[in-house]
Formats: sequence, structure tokens, C-alpha cells
Amino acid sequence: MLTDLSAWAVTAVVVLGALSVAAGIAVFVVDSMARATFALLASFLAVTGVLIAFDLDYLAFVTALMMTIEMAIMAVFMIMFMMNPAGLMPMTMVHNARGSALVGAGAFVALTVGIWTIDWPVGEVTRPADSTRQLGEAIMGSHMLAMLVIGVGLFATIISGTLLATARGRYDRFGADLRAARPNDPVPGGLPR
Amino acid sequence: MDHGGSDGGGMDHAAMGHGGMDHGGMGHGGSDGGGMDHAAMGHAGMSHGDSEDGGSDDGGIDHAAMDHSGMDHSGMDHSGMDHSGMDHSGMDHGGMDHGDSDDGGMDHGGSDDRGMDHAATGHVGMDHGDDSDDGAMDQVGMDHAAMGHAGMSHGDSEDGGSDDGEIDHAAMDHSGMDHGGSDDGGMDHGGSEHGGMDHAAMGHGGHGGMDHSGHGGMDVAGLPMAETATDRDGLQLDELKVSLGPVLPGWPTGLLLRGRLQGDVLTGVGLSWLDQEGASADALDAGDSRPAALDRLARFLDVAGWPLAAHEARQARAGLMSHDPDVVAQADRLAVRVARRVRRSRTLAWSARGTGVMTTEGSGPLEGDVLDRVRRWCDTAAGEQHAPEPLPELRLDTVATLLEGAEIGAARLTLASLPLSRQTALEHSEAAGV
Amino acid sequence: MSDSGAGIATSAAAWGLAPAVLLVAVVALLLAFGVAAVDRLVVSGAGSRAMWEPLRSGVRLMAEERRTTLAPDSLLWRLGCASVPVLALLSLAVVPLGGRTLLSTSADLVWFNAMESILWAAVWLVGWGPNAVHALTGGYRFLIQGLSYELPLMFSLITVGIGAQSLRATDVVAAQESLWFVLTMPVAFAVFLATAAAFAFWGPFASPAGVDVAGGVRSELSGVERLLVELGRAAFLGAAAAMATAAFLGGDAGPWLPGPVWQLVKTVGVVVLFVLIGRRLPVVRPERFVEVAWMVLIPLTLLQALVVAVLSLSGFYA
Repeated sequence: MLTDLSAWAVTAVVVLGALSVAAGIAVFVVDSMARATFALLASFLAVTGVLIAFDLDYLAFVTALMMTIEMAIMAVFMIMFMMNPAGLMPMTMVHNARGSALVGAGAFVALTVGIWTIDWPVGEVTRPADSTRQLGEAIMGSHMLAMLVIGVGLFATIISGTLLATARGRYDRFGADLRAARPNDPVPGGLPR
Repeated sequence: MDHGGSDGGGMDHAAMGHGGMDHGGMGHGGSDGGGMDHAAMGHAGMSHGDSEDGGSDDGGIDHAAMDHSGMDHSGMDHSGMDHSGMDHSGMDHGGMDHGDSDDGGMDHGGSDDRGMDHAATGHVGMDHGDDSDDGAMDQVGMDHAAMGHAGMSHGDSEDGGSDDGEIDHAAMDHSGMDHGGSDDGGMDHGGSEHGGMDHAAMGHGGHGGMDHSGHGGMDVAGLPMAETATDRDGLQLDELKVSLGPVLPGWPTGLLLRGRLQGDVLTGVGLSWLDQEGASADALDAGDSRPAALDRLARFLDVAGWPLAAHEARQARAGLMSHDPDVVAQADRLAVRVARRVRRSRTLAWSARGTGVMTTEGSGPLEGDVLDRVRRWCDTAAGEQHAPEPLPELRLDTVATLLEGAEIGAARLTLASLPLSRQTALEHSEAAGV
Repeated sequence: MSDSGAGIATSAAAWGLAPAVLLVAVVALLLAFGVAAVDRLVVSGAGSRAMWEPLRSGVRLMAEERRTTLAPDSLLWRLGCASVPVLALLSLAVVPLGGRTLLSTSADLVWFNAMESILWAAVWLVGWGPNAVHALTGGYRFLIQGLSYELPLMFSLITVGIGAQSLRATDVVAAQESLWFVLTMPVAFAVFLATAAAFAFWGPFASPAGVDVAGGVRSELSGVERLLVELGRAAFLGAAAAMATAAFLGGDAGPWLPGPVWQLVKTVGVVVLFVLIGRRLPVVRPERFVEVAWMVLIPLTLLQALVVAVLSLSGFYA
């Protein structure tokens, strides 16, 4: 499998892989919420680089896109909600340091040993000319059911999460009989209603 | 104050969380005692006597309903006190009434001393002198220097290891404290959250020269950390004590806004004028001429993010002041055009509609939302309205209620839509003999 | 990076890596200057001398001493400032210049989108770094605005991909030989322009750098850092104009004149459009825009994608 790749690609995978692990470790070393968040983002961007080296362009760019947006939003939420308010206060991402270190190291070793010892099947499949097209055909074809279930599931989770988090319901907005012409919001939105 | 080499320019004590201290008339009602401003308290002469407070535990003190009026601290002797080991965690100063003391400008409202940790406070060497460059600090009115603590005597009590858990200060009488004389006005420590303070090991001996930098762990580089509080929607969110002003683009010069910021939502807003004690004096700029209206319009358009229209409004204003009739005629046309464009802008209407609504009876030409007010100026600026109604009385605390729970942007629009002026406020307060 | 797409040579492959990178950098600088110059001309209303003002202020910023704030997060702050122009360059790497792109992947449009999304992190850091209220508020506003425009932007780019049956930028240009996409995708085009102004936080979408927050994310910037951020912003807007040209206006296609000239003319036209419309409008407050984006723009762009998908299936673009 690896032999399919050029020397450049192999080097890139090794360097970026090491970088992503290092950035992942940095998450638990740095002492500010913002730095931890953006160390995690750096780790994801290194993974993006690995995917690019594997010629998985679409997956790589989508990873960068989704993860950056996710991290940016997460940074705001963590900073607004959690223990490290203004961010420059020394803090740590580690809880139960010993236990989590053991579990983390154990999982890392198990996975690494597994990856290098398992006799992976070597298919006769040739690499596609256009991995993006192949991915699209898989998602919209043979794996459509799975993708739709996951998509709808995620969407439902987002909506129910928002519903649980907000204290205001439609009765607060439109009155007990839901007849108010305009919702009673603390900040009016942009639509004329 | 010696901020230990820090660059005062960036110091924003606004964030410090002494949130809007107001000792003027000291309404400590509801305050939690937090965030007092000890700037230049002049404890130099204090003598804490020989008392030994080591190891006392003041957890759970309830200062509610204290009445400090009439206290006489003169003659106290604090020399030699050792407060080491005190734990003030859990103090609740809520509801203190400091009566008649004159601490002009401090506002303890809403601050919160939960779990203070003064460990290593090291008040030794504090220099609250004038060399600090505290950018946004509010020098208004506080007056602790020469607090007259010199000569206080706390007697020879021996409190070592005592447990003051249930101390009741209810009957204390502080009035008659003399905080006067000095003019350290309003160092706005607004917002310094003394959360987690621990007075252990404070060496109160020798307050001459306190050093507040380094409240062990509770602040970073002299800036205290934000704390959490319930937000507009009932979520526990980080809140930052801020003060806006006295100088910002499109901002009534000299106006100070102190409040708390959650994300970009303002709460606990208090407004005051710089250098002015009667903070709530009537403060409307009554000028209703065309240039004045164009001035206001330009300021508002700056804040609303419409620099092109603001530029034209200023051009028109400059032209109207000219002696050349041609220039005046041209400026007149420009003023009419700008006013019409602003009046008719759908984007502005969409963006500003429903912000800063004043429903108070008799608010006359100020009634309605930001857009209504701006459109009235547009009429004046275009020279259409010849008999403007007299402006009503508008107190700063009325304005402050408008800003409660508004985003910074909405608050700025609201303020920019009100013809507030420090000059007028000063004249009014002088007329009233304040 | 897969260059394996049949017979497509990148500019790096055609002219060598260094000249190709240099070309992108020079074009980015020229676009940034172009945006700033047109903006100055319109705002000041003065003569052509005003258009050189951005150069003068650029030089002044380079010489200016840096201010700093109390207890800033310098590492993240500088990282954010440096990222803004770098991301603008990277997004320009997939825009066809002279018929070739610096990078050519099977997902160019997604690359462009990804660079814009990394800008979220960069701008947030620019607001976070100085540890100041107004800058932080600007950072918050950028993210709020981002949540509003991101999905409409994605859908408008996807619509282009559907029409071209490819996400590769050169394929998109080639697919418009007979008909510019703007004719069948007017909604996607308008949304793309609006979101471009939003991710460069410019014009009516400038609230992250608004006067009401004393300059927002820009409020604490000085010297070279201010220059980098301003340059990056302008370059992003220019790159978006170039991308709009390639994705909706047929790229370098046009009669009589050589391709690059047509591309330049169209790009400058889009920039002028940006400035003329953008400067005539006051800033739109994020809390107003968010509802319109989610309740109006997302359904509209989805509908646009549906129309294009149906057209595409019926062989309209073939």
C-alpha cells in the first residue's frame, strides 16, 4: 500500500503525522483554553495534510473546513461557558491525569501495534483517477442509506440540543395562545414578522 | 498606582470588575462589597495596633444591612496587625448601607467578592500616584486619599485563630468617615473579581505603599479574570466588567458607561459624566439648528457604519457655516440630499428598527426607536421642521435602562441617537446648584 | 495534490513552481491594491490622486512602531494576523490565472471554501489576541456572521459544481464556453458576492471591524500587523472577485481581446460592483442578518441548486 506512494508523499505523511500527534499532545500541555483549542485545530490541519498526501483531496479540504469552523465555535463556547473565562488564566485540560494518561497511552499502543501487525488485505483495486468523483458516487449510491441516516440523526441532535439549551419556547415568543403577530424576542431578528 | 512596569495605556481597569463602584452617596444597597477602589487610600499612617488575626476564618460573614453612617475611624491604630491566615471566602456584603460617607463615585453595586484570595497581596510599596497612565480609567470622583485612617486604632485585641464565622457587622456605623480631601477620583477598578481571594498572609502592617498587582492567581498582569453570571437567556456565561468611553468615535464625549459584558450583550449598565458628580443630571443638548442636527446625523452615521453618508453630512455642515452664499446654497442642497437618503434607506431602517425604544410619556421628540429619532433629525437637517418641540428632560439613568440587555452595537446606536452632551449636563447641574 | 486529471497542467507544471507562486503573489498584491484604490476613489470622491493613498498608508504602516496591549496572547495574535494574507494567497491558488491554476485538484471549489473557513480561526485570533474588549467583540461578530453566510456560500459554490459537473476550477471555466453560469445561477452569483464581502468583513458586512466597537478586530492592530490584516482583507476581496469571474462570468472567455485581458476587465468590473454597492449601504447588524441568512438565503440557494441540478440532468449544460 505504502509502496504506491511517492517518496515525497511518504515523507509528508510521516512528518505531518508526527506533527498532528505533537499538536494533540500540546492540547494538554498549554495553559489556556484558546491555545488548547487551536492546538487541536493544528492537529486536524496536519491530518488534512496527510489526506492530501494520500490524494484524497475532497476529504482533506472538507476536514479542514469542518474542523476549523467547529474549533472556532468551540473556542467561543468554551471561553464563554467554562472554567477559563478570559483565557489567559493558567488552566489545564487534564482531569484525572494518571488515569487518562494510562488510557490514552494504552489506546495509542494498541492501535499502533494493530495497524502494523495486522495482515491487511491487498486488493487489486487501482487508484481512481478522480477520488472526489468516486467518493461522491459512493455517498450518493451504495452508501446513501447510511449517509442519510447519519445526516438526519446529526440534524435531529442539533435541534434537540438547541431545544434543551434554550429556556424560551414558542409560548414565550408568541404568547399563551400563540396568536402574537410578532414574536417577543429580546433581540428582534431581520425578518419583518 | 504602580502597575509594575506595565503599559498603562492598555490598562483597562474597566475589566477589573470593581464594576461601577459608586461611593457617591454610597448606595451599597445590594452590593457585594467587591471591587473597592483602594487607590491612594493613604493608609500610610494607619496603625493596626498589635492585634494578631492569624488564622481567623471569616467564612460566611453576612454584612447585609450594615449601616456605616456615623462611624468614626479617627484615632484607630492598626499598627502591627497581622491578618495572616484569614479566609474571607463566602462573605456577603449584600445590602450594606454606607450611609453618609462621601466616597464620591465609587459604586460597589453588583461586585462580588466570593472566595477572595489575598495571599501574597503584599500591599507594601503600592504607589497610587499620578504617574500611572490608566487609559480608560475613570478618575472621577473617588477620594480615598487621606482617608483619615491615620491614627486608627484597632485596639490591642488578640484575634489569633479566632473564628469570626458569624460576625455581624450590622450595627457598624461608618458615617463620619472622612474620605475627603484627596482627589483620586474614580480609579475604576470596575469589575475586578476578587473571586477566590484568600486574605491569608496579608501583611497589613504599613499600608503606606500598597501594591495591588499580583493578587495571587486572581488576576493576570493586573487584570482580574472574568467571572460567570446568568445571562439574558438564563445561561451561565462568562461576564466581563467593562467601561466604555469617555472618548470613542461617535460617542458623547465625556460619557462613561460602566457595565458587564457577556459576549457582546451589556448588562448592569451605569452611565455618568466625567468630572461630574451629579451623574444623572439632565444632559440633553438642546441645540436644534441645522448644523447641530447635521453634526448628530454624522455621528450617528459613523456609528451605524455608513462613512460615505457621514462624510457628506459633515461636508454639508461645514458648508452651512460658510459666509459665501454660493457655498451655503450648495451645502443646503447637499444637506437635503443626505437627509433624504438617510431617511429613505431601507437597509438602515432594517438594521436600526426596534432598537432603543423610548416609550416614556412625554419623551416628545425623543419618542420611538433609534430610527424615529434619526428621521426627526433628518427633517431638521433638511430644514423642513421649523418649530421643533422642546426636548424633554432626560436623565442618564433613564438612558441606562434603555441599554440594559442590548448588544454593544445596539447600545452604541441608541446612545448615538440621543443628543447627549456633557456641556449641557454641566450647565444644568450648575443651574440646580449641585 | 492530484494532478492526474487528464491532461490538465497547473501553472506550476507549465512555468515552474517559483514563477507560478510569484505570479499568484503578484496578482494577489495587485488585486488588493485594486480593491483599496477603487474603494478610496469612491469614498473620497476626489480625483485619481486618491487612489495612491493605500500605497502611502501601506508604507507608513510598515515604518510604524507596534503598539501592544496589556497581557496579550502574542503567539496566537501574530499567528492570526499572518494567516489572513496567507489564506488570501492560498485561496487565489485555485483561481485560474491565464487559463491555469497554481494548484489543480479534483475539489478546487471546496479548497476555496476551506481557505475561507480557516479565515474564521484567523480573524477570531486577531480579535482574541490583544485581550481587549472591542477586539474580542469583533471576533464574536465575525463568527456570528460566519455562521450566517457559510451555508449559503457553500450552496452557491456547489451549484457551480453541479453546473460544471466538476469541482475543478479550470473545468468550471471550460463548462461556460457556450453560456455563462451567471445567466442560469443569478441567485448563486449574488449570494457569492454578498458572502465574499462578508468573509472579508467589508462594506455592509464590516461589523466585525465596525466603528461601534472602535474598529473591532482591527482596533488594537498597528504597524506591520495592521498592514498584513488590511492587505489580507483586500486580497481576499480581490480573490473573491477573480473567483466570481471564473465561476460565473466565463473566466477569460470573450471575443476579440486576449483571454487575460478579458479576465482582468471582468475582475475589475466585479471589484467596482463590490465598492459601488457596498459603499452605498450602511453596516448590516449581525443579529439582523442571521435570521435573513437562515430563513431566506439558505432556502433560496437550495432552490437555485435544485433548478441547476434539474437543468443539468436534462442535458442543458452538456
